[in-house]
Amino acid sequence: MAPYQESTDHDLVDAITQGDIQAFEGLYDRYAGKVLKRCFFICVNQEEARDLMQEIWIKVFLHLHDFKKQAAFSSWLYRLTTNHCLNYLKSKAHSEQSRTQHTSEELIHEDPTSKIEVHHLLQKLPMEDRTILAMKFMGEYTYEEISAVCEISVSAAKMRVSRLITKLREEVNT
Amino acid sequence: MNDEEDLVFEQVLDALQIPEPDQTTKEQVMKAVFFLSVAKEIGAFHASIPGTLLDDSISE
Repeated sequence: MAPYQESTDHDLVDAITQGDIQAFEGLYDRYAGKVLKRCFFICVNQEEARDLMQEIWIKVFLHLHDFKKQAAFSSWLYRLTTNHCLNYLKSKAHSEQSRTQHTSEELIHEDPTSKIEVHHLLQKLPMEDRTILAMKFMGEYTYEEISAVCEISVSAAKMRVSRLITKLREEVNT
Repeated sequence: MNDEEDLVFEQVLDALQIPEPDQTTKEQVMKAVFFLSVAKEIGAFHASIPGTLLDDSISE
């Protein structure tokens, strides 16, 4: 049995803060895949997602003392993931925006009857929609916080989330 | 939070066909964490030394 397999996340956090590096490996093994998928969800690029994931785990190590264990470790980790990825996108927003728009237009003109895989759907989603979904479901931001960041009304944020979820539901059920 | 919406989001993540993180990535992360932990310990060690001992100025 792998060490730490039966330890809770909070046990591992305690061990890491006491200098146990192996416990960090335990957390990594438990969550690396989930973090990677979340990075990919936001940046829709495997190479970037992997780089972001590495940066995130180093950030986790450096900021673990900020985790007060009032919530689940996974919530803290996913919020850190969301913020890190969104900051990354923001920092390269100009080039990213033009590239994404270009890609979106190209994909929209593809054969509409062809089966679209989920990651293609993500590529088609504008960055703002991916941001809203990531904030809501990964970062657990409230609609009020989303509306403030995205500069839209609370009701518009709710409507956008509902519409996007409907779209995603159709896609995963195809 | 709406559980049904959360479930849909999780299904989307599950449906993403990307490979699991590879061993090299893990090794790089663990190496970085190891060096950071050593740096932390050295920093703590230095912080524990009274300032006068580290003062390398030469008094005449």
